[in-house]
Amino acid sequence: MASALVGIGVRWLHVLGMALVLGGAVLTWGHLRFFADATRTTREQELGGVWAYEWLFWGSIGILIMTGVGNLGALAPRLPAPESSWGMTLSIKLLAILGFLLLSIIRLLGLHAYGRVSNPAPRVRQRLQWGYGLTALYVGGLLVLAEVLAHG
Amino acid sequence: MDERLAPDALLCWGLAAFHTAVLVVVLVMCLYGSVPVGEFLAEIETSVGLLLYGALWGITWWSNHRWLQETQLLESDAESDRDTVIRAGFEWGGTTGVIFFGVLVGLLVLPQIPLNAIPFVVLVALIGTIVAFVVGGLLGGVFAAADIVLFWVADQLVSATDQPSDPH
Repeated sequence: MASALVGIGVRWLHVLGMALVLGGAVLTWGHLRFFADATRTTREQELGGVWAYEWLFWGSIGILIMTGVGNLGALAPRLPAPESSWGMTLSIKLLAILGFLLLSIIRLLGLHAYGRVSNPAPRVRQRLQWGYGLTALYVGGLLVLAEVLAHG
Repeated sequence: MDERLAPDALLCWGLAAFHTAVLVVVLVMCLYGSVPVGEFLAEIETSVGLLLYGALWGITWWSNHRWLQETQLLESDAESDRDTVIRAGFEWGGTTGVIFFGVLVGLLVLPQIPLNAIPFVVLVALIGTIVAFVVGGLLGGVFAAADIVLFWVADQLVSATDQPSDPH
């Protein structure tokens, strides 16, 4: 009973983490695209929401990886072999997650550098905006892989 | 008094989550290809696995904070500074490895051993501590070197088209 509850809790946290990452990326992209006009808002108004999302994002990433490994553990010891189609999909997903982590940390470090620049060019701001749009699209792709793994 | 500035809290939070996540994903990839990972995971209770990940994440957060504080990575441009950043990465990575090894022993080994085996476990733990420091140190050094490159890439993305402030 207790282990079943832990299993449900792990899956619930995993879905919640994914929803926060995806929903937050769309909202942050929209905030930068439509509301936080650099010529009309202060730096705090422009970046406050973006910083908040980054705090949430990295917390969610920790929860997603932690519960993702927990989900794998729930399948153990009947985990399909790496050569099976399920195993290939898992390997692709793990590689895709590594790529996502790499791009995401560059986005955070870019945001940090952007926050230190006194007079950023519009093109740089546009790159930042694209960074959040790309995050949402990438997470959409990861969701497809997750769905294949969960439901075949 | 220590005159070094406190590192940016968000940067520290993000880097700690990044380092922990990359390490665990790479570990799972390596295990999945080489050993029966299903049997390995089946041996560990889900709640213990979550605790271990949480512990690694927390320790990494703390050690990343100390590493950023010590090296002032953002201000490091010269080659000698880069060496300092990587050396400090080795030291703090080693510290992380030793503390995490202690958590591993405390959670997985100690609850299962009989009292008369404690001297043997202490001996193995001492050797394990040295191994944990070296492995953690190597990982810390690799992450520090990778971080220098990532900081540089991010800086290029922002500063390449930066319009400097008008001094007048």
